[in-house]
Amino acid sequence: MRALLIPGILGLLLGLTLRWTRLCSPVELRRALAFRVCHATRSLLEAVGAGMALTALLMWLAVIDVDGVVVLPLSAGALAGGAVFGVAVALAGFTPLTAFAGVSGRHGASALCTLAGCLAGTLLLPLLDGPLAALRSLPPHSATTLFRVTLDEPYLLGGGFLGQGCAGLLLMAIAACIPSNRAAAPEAPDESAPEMPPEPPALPPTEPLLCLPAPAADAPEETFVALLPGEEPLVVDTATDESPAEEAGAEDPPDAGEPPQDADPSSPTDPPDEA
Amino acid sequence: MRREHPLWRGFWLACLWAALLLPGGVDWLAAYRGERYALILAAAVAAGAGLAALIALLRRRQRMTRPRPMRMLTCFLYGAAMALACGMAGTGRILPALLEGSTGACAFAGTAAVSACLTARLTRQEVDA
Repeated sequence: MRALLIPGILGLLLGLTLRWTRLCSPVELRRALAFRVCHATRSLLEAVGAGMALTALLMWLAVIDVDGVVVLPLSAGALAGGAVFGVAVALAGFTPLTAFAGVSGRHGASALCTLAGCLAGTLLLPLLDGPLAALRSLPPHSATTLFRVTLDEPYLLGGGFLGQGCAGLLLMAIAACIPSNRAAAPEAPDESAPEMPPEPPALPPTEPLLCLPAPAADAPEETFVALLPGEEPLVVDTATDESPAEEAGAEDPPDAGEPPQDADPSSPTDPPDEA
Repeated sequence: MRREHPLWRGFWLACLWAALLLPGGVDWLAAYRGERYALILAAAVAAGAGLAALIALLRRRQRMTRPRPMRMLTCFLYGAAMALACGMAGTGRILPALLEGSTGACAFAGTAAVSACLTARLTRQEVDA
């Protein structure tokens, strides 16, 4: 039971974190790989840098036994494998790890197919062991670790655990310097985030209001015709002054049976404007 | 730093990766071979991600997309290619080797990053319907 407990807890936490970092979303992973959205890119780079620094610290503290470190030598197989792996990850949107976490996402069917493919490829590996071993034996052969972190393996640079920790801190600094494009990074693009509607086309610049004297013969001289773009001509009569009664009538319209104010010629509030 | 900050989430992911190194690291291809430790870990990863997605699934009534058959076939082939690529490198323990500073793992990760960036840039983003 204890053997199940530790990997179970670590796996649960890893699955939660992969979901939070959005690395199990194929859309987000492809955007991160293309450096289109820097949100997941920052998380990934920070994780690698901090992981290198923490690993160096744990190895320096002898929490991780350096005798048990399995190093991977540089060979043509590693280079070719990396190229094939990168192309496959960019096209599928999953890695062999994130496909497990992507099963419960929106693209779960694609993740399941990727898992089935990984299973088939793993079953094929023993059959292709000869050619793959020949590929791994091809040059370039180089040192097997970047820094001196093991007792007997060759290394490329001096510095030991401190050098590896500084390399990790450098990656963390690079991740911190990447600008975060929040506008281009939706909260969860694979969680059925609604797409923003396309912006309406830009309106043509508004034409200035054109006021012309009334061309009609029956219109008085104080009448202007306002030509608005796309609207019917509006006749504006500047000669008529609004009386206080009209203003009051506009705010408080009369009843239907009551005659209008301008219908009464004896009304003192509506003097005829003869000018 | 806010809890939702990408750097904080990346640091939390790094802590988990370092914790996985304590029992000797995980070969993720071993999960596909049926080894017990890696298989339990992989199942727990799927359960944890499902737990995180459960609230979103319930709230937004999110439905799983149904990919086209060609997309399913290509995902299968890409998965097989990933496993074979790890076989070319010699192990599925790439990530622990990268954290421990192996030159082969660094070369693998570097070429993978370059080829993935080029592929993602050059190809149209294929999204399931």
